[in-house]
Amino acid sequence: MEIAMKRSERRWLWIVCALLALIGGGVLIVGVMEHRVHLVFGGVMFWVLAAVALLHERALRPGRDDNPASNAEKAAWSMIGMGLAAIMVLGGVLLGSMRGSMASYLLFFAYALIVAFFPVYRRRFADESRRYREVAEDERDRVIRAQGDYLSKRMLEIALVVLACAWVIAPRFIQAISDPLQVAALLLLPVLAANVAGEARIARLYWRDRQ
Amino acid sequence: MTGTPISNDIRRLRFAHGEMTQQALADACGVTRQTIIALEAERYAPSLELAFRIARAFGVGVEEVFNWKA
Repeated sequence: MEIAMKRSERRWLWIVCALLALIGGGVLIVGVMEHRVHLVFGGVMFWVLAAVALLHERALRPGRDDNPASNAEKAAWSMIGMGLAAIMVLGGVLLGSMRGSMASYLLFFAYALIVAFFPVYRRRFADESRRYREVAEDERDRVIRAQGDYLSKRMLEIALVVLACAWVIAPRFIQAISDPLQVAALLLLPVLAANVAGEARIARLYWRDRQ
Repeated sequence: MTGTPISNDIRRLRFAHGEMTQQALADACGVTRQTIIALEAERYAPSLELAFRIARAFGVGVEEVFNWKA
């Protein structure tokens, strides 16, 4: 199976990432000039996607003993990228200047699409494994996943406690969030952030084991 | 996943068994090649079940494959 990225593929990745960074910069500048927070977040989202793609490519290079990344490691990196993008979208909705506007609904649907794509991604990796008659997941993968899930759970607990405290200490701040989309974004953000933290730990553990 | 008090002779046994590849051993034990690499590097301590599977693949006892580091 072709594990390492070919040089031509790597060149294309760099071109796509440069384009993403360029578009992100443009969107960010427009956002700052027009004081539109959701555009600022949108611009940052492009940068985050480009950075994650480059980090992903670098992290998945074969390590010691020509040790390639497992499907579970690749899946963790994909989840980090998509999770961060979704966080940027929700952050834009929460803090943005587009309460109840068509743009906010469109962004929310974009987020829903990203979330809907998660299982498709996992299935793709599983199908690929089956095609090559590989083991999709074994006991070590489950041990590493458990460590990521543990961190994710702890992060979510802390975020919910902070949210609850904010509700009591600064009710005006919370009550100012009146738009249903913003309330939904406020509730979903900690879940996504906790998931990304968990996946980041999983990716780090895999990467460290391969060095 | 770093460092484990269990050492092993998997690499030596692989070479003693006709230079068995990591992938061949992984297939015989129902795990990924990455797990075999992590085991050889002593970065992962296997479950009892996997330890028995590996020993069976080499046709030896578990204590001949795995040792407790003093």
